[in-house]
Amino acid sequence: MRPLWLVPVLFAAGCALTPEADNAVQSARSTYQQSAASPHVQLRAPVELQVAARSLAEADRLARSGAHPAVVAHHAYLAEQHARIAMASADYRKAEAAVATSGEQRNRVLLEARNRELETKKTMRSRQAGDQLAAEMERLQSQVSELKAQPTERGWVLTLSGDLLFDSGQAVLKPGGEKAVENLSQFMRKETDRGITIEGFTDATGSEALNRRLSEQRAQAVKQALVARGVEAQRIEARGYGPAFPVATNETAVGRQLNRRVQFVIAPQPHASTGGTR
Amino acid sequence: MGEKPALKGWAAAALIAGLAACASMPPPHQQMGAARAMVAQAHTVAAQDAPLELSTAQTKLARAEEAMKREDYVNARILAEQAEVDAKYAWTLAENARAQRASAEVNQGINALRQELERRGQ
Repeated sequence: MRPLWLVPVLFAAGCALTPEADNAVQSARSTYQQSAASPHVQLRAPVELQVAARSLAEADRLARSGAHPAVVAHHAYLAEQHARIAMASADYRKAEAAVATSGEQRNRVLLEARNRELETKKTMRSRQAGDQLAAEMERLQSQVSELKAQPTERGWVLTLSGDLLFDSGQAVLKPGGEKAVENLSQFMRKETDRGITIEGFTDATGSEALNRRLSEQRAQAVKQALVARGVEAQRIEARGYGPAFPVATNETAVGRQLNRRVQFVIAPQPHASTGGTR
Repeated sequence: MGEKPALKGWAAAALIAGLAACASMPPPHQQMGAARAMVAQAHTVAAQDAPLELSTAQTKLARAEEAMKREDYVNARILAEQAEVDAKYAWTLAENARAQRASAEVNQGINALRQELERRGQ
């Protein structure tokens, strides 16, 4: 007795599909599935993929409808070749696209390099400028022993004792103050693109209004001394704050002496109105 | 064994129908033309980069031409269709080889440029 399972198999295969035809269909299906599963092929060879799918469906249909095994194998072969064509097409189109955009890529490399170069130059320049300024401040500080130089958010702040620059209640520079101003003016003539703010402060002894006027006059006196030494007036701003913003207590003599001071704020950025020459 | 004669008869009917279809098949002029054109197109580019695939296509086309002479249109059609798809595959492989070379060349150029710029930047 012939096994019963052969009946539906034979029936489904029509005129008994040969192992060769069956292998051809299986091989075509596997190659097609490999190509259809790839997003790369889906994207770049959709038409070829569709042709392969149609060929495979035709091979299946012929196998089901009992066509001659040679005809089934033929269509399976066509389907497999179309799937291979789809994969190779996707590959060559990808490479062609890369070549087509190579000009852009080249420009991007050039642009990146240019930006890197600019960034490096900028960093170096600002570091150099920063180092240079710090060195200058140190030099200024060494020249005027009473001078304290500190880098702050507002820029470098130099503090000079008011007692060194002025006699009590006076707004006329003393000889000791002249020397400090001379050093400062040398610095300002060299750093031609920097602005400076001169701020006068007093202790809290006496009338606040008088003190404010005195501090203002002292700041103005320093400004005039700098201008007289060749620093452009528009680069200098002079302000008097009187007893405001004390740095020490006004209860002790030492504290009051510390509060009597003139501060020079040297802008961190080049002065906008004069422009940079560096 | 009752189903055996029935199966035999069914298979025979299918075979006869197939042969009848074959006998009435017209000459596959369109398929022959498409195969010749595709083989010619592949020939110009695939000789170097896909010689095996090209040669397969050429052999099948030659056999298709012989079948046409014998008026064996069934085999002529099958061979022509396969020659065409084989030639297209050969052409695509050759095209891919060419594009990969071009892409590699361009990448080499870009890498050289990048290295040169990095070297200069240091």
